[in-house]
Formats: sequence, C-alpha cells, structure tokens
Amino acid sequence: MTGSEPPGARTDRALSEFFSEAQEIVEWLSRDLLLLDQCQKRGEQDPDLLNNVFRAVHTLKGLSGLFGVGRMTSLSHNLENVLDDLRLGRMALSAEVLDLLFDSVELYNRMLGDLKAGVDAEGSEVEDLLVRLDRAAAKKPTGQNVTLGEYELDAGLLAVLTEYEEHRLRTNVNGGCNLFRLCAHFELSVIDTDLEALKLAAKPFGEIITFLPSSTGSTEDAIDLDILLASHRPFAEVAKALSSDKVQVIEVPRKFVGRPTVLPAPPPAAGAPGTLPVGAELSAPFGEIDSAPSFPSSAPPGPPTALEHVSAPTTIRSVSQTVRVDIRKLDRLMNIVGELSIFGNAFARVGERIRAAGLLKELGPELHRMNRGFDRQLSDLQEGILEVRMVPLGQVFDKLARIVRQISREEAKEIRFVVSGSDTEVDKLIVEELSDPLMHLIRNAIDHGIEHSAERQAAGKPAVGTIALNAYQKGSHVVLEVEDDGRGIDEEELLRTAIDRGFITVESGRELSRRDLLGLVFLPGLSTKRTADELSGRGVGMDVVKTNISRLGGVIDVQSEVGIGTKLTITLPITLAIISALVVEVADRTFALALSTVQEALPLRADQLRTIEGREVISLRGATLPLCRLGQLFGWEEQAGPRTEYIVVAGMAGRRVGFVVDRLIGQQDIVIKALGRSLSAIRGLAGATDLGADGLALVLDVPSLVEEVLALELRTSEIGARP
Amino acid sequence: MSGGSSRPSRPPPRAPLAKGEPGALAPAPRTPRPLFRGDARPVVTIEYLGFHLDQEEYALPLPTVREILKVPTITEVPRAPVDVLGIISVRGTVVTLVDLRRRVGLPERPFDRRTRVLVVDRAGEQMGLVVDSVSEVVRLTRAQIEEAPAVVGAKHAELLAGVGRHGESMWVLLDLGAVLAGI
Repeated sequence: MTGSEPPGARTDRALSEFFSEAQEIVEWLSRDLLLLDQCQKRGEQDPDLLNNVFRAVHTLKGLSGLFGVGRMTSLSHNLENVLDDLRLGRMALSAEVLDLLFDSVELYNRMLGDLKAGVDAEGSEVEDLLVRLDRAAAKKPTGQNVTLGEYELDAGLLAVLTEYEEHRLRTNVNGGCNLFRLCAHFELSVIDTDLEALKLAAKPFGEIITFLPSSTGSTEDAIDLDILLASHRPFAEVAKALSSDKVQVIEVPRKFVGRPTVLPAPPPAAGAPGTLPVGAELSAPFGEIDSAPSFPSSAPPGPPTALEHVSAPTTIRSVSQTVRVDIRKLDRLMNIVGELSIFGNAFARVGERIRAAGLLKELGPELHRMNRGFDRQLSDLQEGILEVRMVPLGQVFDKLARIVRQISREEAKEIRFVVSGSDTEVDKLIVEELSDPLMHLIRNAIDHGIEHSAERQAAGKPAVGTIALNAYQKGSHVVLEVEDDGRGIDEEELLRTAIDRGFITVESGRELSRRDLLGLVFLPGLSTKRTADELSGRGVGMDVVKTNISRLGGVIDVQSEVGIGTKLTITLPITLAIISALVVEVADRTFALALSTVQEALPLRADQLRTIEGREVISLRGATLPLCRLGQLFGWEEQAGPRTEYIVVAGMAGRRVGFVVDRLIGQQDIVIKALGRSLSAIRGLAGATDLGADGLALVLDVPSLVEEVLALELRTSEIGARP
Repeated sequence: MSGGSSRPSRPPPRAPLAKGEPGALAPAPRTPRPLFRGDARPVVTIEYLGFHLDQEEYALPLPTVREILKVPTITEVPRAPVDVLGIISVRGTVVTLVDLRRRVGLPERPFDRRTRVLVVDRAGEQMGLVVDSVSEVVRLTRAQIEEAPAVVGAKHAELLAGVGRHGESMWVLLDLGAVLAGI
C-alpha cells in the first residue's frame, strides 16, 4: 500500500467515498426492510417502501458498477430483478423472501467489509442467496387471474399504464377498492407544489395509480391531469375532501354486465379509440368525460417535462445531507485547537506584561479584549468539533432490530421489539463500542429471558414477548435500557451457583443485598453459556459486557423479578473522554477514582478497625470489608501520626474493598488521558488526568485493584491456615 | 565543564523534525554550500544537541529532539520501570519522563535551575529525558565521529552511538532507540 503517493491516495480517497456512500445506502436499505417487515406482519402492503428498497438496490448497482466491484454489481442486479418481481406482484412478499432480503443486507455489509480489508473474497454467497431467492419465489406464484373487467376502464388508459401501475391497479381493485378519477387543473408555474399538495391530501384515502395528462384543457401555462385514485372510502367522502375549484372528483363506474373481461393486450396505438378491445366498448371511455374543465387547447397534449419525476420510480434519490468524516481527522482538529489555546495563553501573558509595565496604554487593553474574543471563539470551535463527533444511537438500533428479527425467527419466539430514543446522540467512538454489548444483552434476553409463547400463555402473559430498548439523555450521561418481559433471573439459583463455584462463601452470600445478588450475574466465569441455561437466567459473557461498558466509563445495573422480566440499565458518559471522578489524596499524592466504581465514602473510626491475619478490615453494617492502603500497595511511605482518614468503598457485589485515603478532595468531571506505552500495562492504573494547576493525577483502575487486594487477602489467609 | 571553544559559535536554525527512526546514528545529512570558491569537496555535517550529565558532555541528533522544557510538576507513577521518574503534562499530552542520569548509571542529583527536559519522539509517543543542562547545537562531520571506545562502555555501552570530537571538545553520542529501549 502506497497511500502517500498521489495516484494511490486518489484511489484511496475515491474508494473511501464509495464505502461511505454504499454503507449509507445499505443502512437505508436495512431500515426500509425493517419497516417492510413490520408491514408484512400486519398483513399490509406498502408499495412506497418496496419502491424505496428497489431504488436503494438500484443505486448500489450503479455505484458498485462505477467502482468496478463486480460481486456487488451482480448481487444488486439480481436483487433488482427479484424486487421488480415483488413490485409488480409477480412474486409475493413472504416472510421467507424477507429473510433472504435481510440476508442480502448482511451480504452487502460483508462485501463492504472485505473490500475495506482488502480481502478479495470470491464466494458463492451471491449465487447461494439468489438460488434461495429463486426457490422462495417459485414457491409462491401469485394469482394473475385478477381482472379489471368489473370497472369500466378505457382500454386506452390501460394501454398506457406501466406494468407497475397496472399491477397496483389490479391489486387495489382486487382488494375491493373503488376507483376515482380526479380531473385536476394545474398552472404550470405552481404545478410542483400544487401536485404535491394534492398527492398529500389524497394519500390518506388510498393510492394514486397514475397521472396522465388530459387530452383536453392543456394550455401554454396550464395543464389538466387525469389522476386515477384507488380508495376504500365512499365517493362522497373522497369528493368532499379532495374537490376544489381546480379538482373534480368523478367516480369510475362499475359495470354490471357480468362479462368477465380478460385484460386486453396493449393496443398498438395508445389511446386511439379505434382499437378498443372487447369489454371496453360498452363503457364511457375514461378519457372522455365532458365535465372535465375545458380550456382551449393550443399546446400539444404530450406530457410536460415537469411531471417526469412523478412517474419515474427508478429515480436515484439523493442519499443524504451528511458528510462522513474519519474520526482521526477530528482528533487532529482537536489537537490543533489545543495548540491554539497555548498561543492564546501566550498572547494573554504578553498582554499582561504590557499592562504591568505600563506600556502602550491604548494598545494594551485592546490586546486584552482581542484575546478574550479569541478565547471565546476557540472554545466555540472546540465545542463544535465535539458536536460533530456525536452521532444518533439509531445507527446501532437498526442493526439490533435486524438481529432481533433474525434470532427470534431462529428461536421460533415471537418478539415485539420496541425502540425509543434512537435520536439520542453519543460520541461516535462510544456508539461503535456499544453495538457488541447491546447485541449480547438482546441475544440473552431472547435466548434466556423471553419464553416460548405456549409457556407465556400458560403463565398468563401475552403470547408475544416484548423487548424494549430505550435511550435517553440524563445530564452529561446517556442511559440505555434493555428490558424484557421474560422469565426474570432467579437469585437463589444464582447464589447457589456462585457458592458452588467458590466465587463467594455461604456467609458472605448471606450478607448480600438483593441488588448485590443480581450483580453476581456479572462475575466472570459465572455466567457462561452453559451455566446460563442451568440458571435459567442470562448468560453469554455478562462479565464481558460489563468490562466493555466500564471501559467506556459506564456502569451497568440489573433489575429483575422472577416471572415478570429483567431490565438492564447502562449509564454512559456522552463523550468518551470525560468521566465523573472522586479525587482523593493518599500519601501526599492525588488520585482520581471513577465515581461509577465508588459505592460510598466514610470517615474511618479507630474502633471499627480490626486486624485479621495481619490484614486490616472493618465491619461495615455487619459485613467484613477488607481495607487497602495504597501507599503500602505501591510501596510508598505514608506519613505517621494521628490524622483523620477516610474509607472509599469501591467494587461490586461481594467483591468490595475499602481504600483508605487521607483526604477527600471532591467530585469532578475529568478527562482521562492514556499513559505512555511503558506505563500503560501497569496494574491498577487506568490513566492520568490533568487537574490544571495541581498537575497530573493518576486515575486508579478500581476493578483491577479490588481483584488484586482480594487475591492478596486470599493468599494471606491460605498461608495463615497452613499448619 | 563547558564545551570547547573552537566550534561554530552560532546555533543554526533548527532542522525540521525527522520522521524516521529515533536514535538512528545518522540523521539526514546536510550538505552546506562550499565555504570558499574552489572548495569542490562538499563537507557533510550532522547536527547534534549537546547537553550535560554530571561532568560529561552528551549529545543526541538534533532532529530527534522536539523541544526543550524546564522541569514541570512531576507526577510519580507507582510500579513504573526504575528509570522512569513519572509523568508530566506537555500541552495536554501525558509524557513519560525518564531520568537520563539513572539510565546511563550516574548518581542522582537534585534538580536546579539549569535542569531541562528534552522532549523526544518514540514512534509517535512523546517521551521526556531529564538532563542537567543543555549546552548548544553541535555540528560534526563524519570524520569527527568515532566508534565508541571500549573503555567508556562497561555497563552502558549499548546506549552509545559513538563519540564526537572537535578540537579539544568531546561529546558522548547517545543512541536514542537504545536509551528508550525497555522503558
């Protein structure tokens, strides 16, 4: 890879634009498919959605062709055919077909991933998928025996309908819709807005099949359109809603003659009355109702160009208003802002000196003012860049909805997936890191939480299980909740397993609060897939989920009621870099602990202190809490003599430690910075933070310190127990 | 001890930072214009930053040094490698600070007003080296650089890139990569 060379660089850039755009379209595609899936479940049809899907695939075909990505072009091309069949009703949109369409989204993602990684994967996946699509399609031949004969439609009209329009017309008539003709008169200067308004007004009543320019009434600056509307509503209602001085609503009469009409073969000359086929001749031709507003016609009746976009379903939609940016570029901008603020400070100092020396009496204050303005702009800039990093959680949610659909079908469980707050914004890096943990949680909820419908009904619950994913902002944090109405977690069972596996003793188990008990689910090794089944609770690596969340500076909490359900709550900082911390002083040194790991802080009273096997402990509300002196642990001398000390209780569930500190300095939001390469592996340190005038303070990695202290504890007690 | 007197007196403008390997013996050689007409043979000089440790003069290739700072507040880091003094903040970046005296096996000594931190770059990471004081930029020709004599290197020979001589003066040239190895 020679990314630095101009030709290579150009290709890279073009390619990365391709990735962004393709990715975005695939995301749209996925979203539309999900909506389509919901429609299908309700037994509804939404031709617009299907058109959107078709267009997305069509765009992908063009795009991938442009960039010579043959695999993708061929997938798109074939999908396009399938979608066209769906659109035209030649194939029914079944759950199986939808499955396969969802598979195609995965396939697109995989192809993009391969391309990005430079992997030239030649697979038979495209062929496989298409074979399966073909099979699914073959299974469901759709009835083509629908006739339109019931309606007195002009054969000329039928002839000019596109295949798609004809299909929609059949479908609607078949569905028992009434047909209405809207004769509308538009001024060309405002036709765009007027037509849109009419479409919008008509939408609630049904589906517009086609727009045709009327053979009469068109002038140089106006045009009459015949609009065919299919609706379930009665004539009076439609007429009342849509009639105006520019629009006339006419009911297309039904035929009572019981002569079934076979749809005519398209006559050679569209609209030529001389070639009417059998069945149409009895009726008043659609295009010849004299009550249509009549204007002297001087312009030829050809369709005006302004209308073309209306009847061209394959238009490539403008994909988005957004720009994708490599996050490293934003990091670079942030660094530049940092450097600029240094210069700003330097200017300020010069200004101070000028003022102090009494020089340049007029220029001094001016310099000061300018510098203040500079500072303000700079912090605006910084804020702006931070804002750019924020993306809506919806990106992840869509992916999850796909997963829910997939797993629930695999597991044959019916699940309603309810999402709220998908527009909540979070730092891009957090969003990236969130999808795996959330996927785990949701998979667990389906695997172990939601029961099969028979079991649910027996328990008096609705047959369809619900998983809710809620997101909302709370101060400088974002809260995410994954909630299911499944069977809940059995704490007793959980406790038994934890004791059996030696994670906690029977005694300490007795001391655990309910919340702590549920917290056991996050212990590493406790919640493996196997034990999860035994526990009839949740499983797959909850400890991993917890680790991932805490790496993001977040906390995860679990609430559960047996038989009612389980709720997992994740609280995250909005931006990765900033966390709430407790700042403390130990052995004349300042440390910060993530507040999320701290349970409480209290003064250490001498009478609480006991020594067991040479190690200090205190009794805290009946429980024994091992203490840790950081000075000792780190090998630093601590000042002797009487002084007030505090205990910061940190950790979780049965694994807690009290850190003895000299002073509680306070709580503040800090920016965690990584330590250098040689220091990053040091156990017990999570990084450093700049406390301004007080210099850097180390940020403690509380979970690893707790484990270390408890391991020491164990060793000491083992040595003590030896004969 | 201060350096010799027969060196070029004015430090040249700082060379742009090298992007290559830190600690490479020869940073990009510089070919100055011949001083006199008729002097056909171009003299390749290499620029070094000279500094003091104890009574000795040391030098690092100039392009490897990003900047020179007074000693800021140092935050001690427990469980760090023995030669690490702690961390400092340089314009918002956390920089690991190495005690160069300890590294080359010299006794410790309190900081004074001449103590400086040389900020160097190790594969994208900034590191700080504490030195007693900074003297000046030294230009040496290839001919003035010798292999490190065996005498110097008992314990820390691996840190040396060579010895530079100019007139009466002598500089111990450090190999930055070796100095930072293991830290």
